[in-house]
Amino acid sequence: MSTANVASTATGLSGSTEADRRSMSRNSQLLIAWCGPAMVVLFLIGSVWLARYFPPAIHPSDSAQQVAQYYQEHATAIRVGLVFSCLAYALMGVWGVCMAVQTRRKEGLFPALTYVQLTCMAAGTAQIVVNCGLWATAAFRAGEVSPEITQAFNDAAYIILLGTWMPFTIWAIALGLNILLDKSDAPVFPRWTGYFSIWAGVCFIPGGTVWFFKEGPFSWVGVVCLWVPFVVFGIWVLYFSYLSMQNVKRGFVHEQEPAVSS
Amino acid sequence: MTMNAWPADPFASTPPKAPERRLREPGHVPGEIGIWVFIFGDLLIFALFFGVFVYERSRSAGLFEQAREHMNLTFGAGNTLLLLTGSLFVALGLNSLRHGASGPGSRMILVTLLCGFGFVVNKYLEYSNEIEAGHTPSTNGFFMYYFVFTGIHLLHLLLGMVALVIMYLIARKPALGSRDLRNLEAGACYWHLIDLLWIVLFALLYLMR
Repeated sequence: MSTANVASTATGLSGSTEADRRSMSRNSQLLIAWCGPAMVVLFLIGSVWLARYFPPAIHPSDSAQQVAQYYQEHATAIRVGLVFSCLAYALMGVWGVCMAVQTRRKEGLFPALTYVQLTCMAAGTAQIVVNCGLWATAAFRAGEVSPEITQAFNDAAYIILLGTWMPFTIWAIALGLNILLDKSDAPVFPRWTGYFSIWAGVCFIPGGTVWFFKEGPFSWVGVVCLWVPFVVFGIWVLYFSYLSMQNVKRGFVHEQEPAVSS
Repeated sequence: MTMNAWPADPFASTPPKAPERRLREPGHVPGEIGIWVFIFGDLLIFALFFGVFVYERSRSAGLFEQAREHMNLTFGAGNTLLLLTGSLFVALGLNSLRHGASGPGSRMILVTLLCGFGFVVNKYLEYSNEIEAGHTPSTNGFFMYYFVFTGIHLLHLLLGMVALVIMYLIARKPALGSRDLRNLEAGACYWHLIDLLWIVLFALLYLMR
């Protein structure tokens, strides 16, 4: 970048008005709020339609040969699906920032719960992106290596996807507490959604049963282990996306209450 | 910058004593609407659990009945009694607190907390008993449901005990505001949920023939 450019940018910044800054904040916040629905759509394309790990095409009780054969026959669809899926999970990180920005506005100078949200959201995003990598690894040499290796990577992916619910649960509880501990008359989100968020966090817990069962409702094809956490997570993401968009549209974008007061 | 100047507490003006007529107001929701969203959400998930259990049971009734006969009814009935007693005392405690009797009110919450603690000890003994007898979640379908459902219920109970500790601390305050009462009621409703879920679990796991 040339010096002239830098200078002009600088002038542009100093010349920007409060209204400009609000408009930028508004647009960026709307953008990250829309990552919630976008994430759900990408997840549906990647995992339901292409890679078919949700609902799982491979059962935990399938033999290693069956698993390897499935990967061999559907290698391309699985790989392309995982790209979409991974993109969805990356957007989860962006959407998590949207929640943090919303609650940060009211939490004051030391936003402890917002930091908890960000840390857990980032850890959860990291692990859920990794399990896409594990499925991709299983697909990478399926048919070339012994079937047990393919099966092991497939197992590992599900075991991380559902079994590591802890950061997600803490994330949802932190968001809920952020709402419930707000003592003002106008919390960031309606008060009941604080309880809703904690409930959602509790609903992610049954995912942990994936470590213990190879069949039935507590295995990775089961209604309790797979469907409860995923469906509740989807509703949680979509509803809080909607609430955030409403907040931004109402103009709650640029006030940081305790910092402004003197 | 004057960083240390915080805005005035908007709740500083809430009445120091809980209004007793709060009880009789039409349309009064115990606690607040949010806790009921949580409770019905949880009931929805547990209804799903119970449905799955009854369905699976109908598919292999013989095995489930055989396994059920191994269950120790004393542990189950003991835990039912503990939770019902706890629920009674939390309700009585709240009634005292509404009338400004902080001492008896907080002591009754403590009794509920002890009931919860008794439940945990009882559950520990029961689990050890079952595992010693060679029954683990992988033994058969019945014990899988038994351990997972009672485990998730136990997790709810532990959360409820945290809630009771917070309620005890609130109850010890010299004067309760309307926000305090709201939180106390919400906690008591949650404790009743734990009780309700256990009664259904008790019926399904120990009694259903």
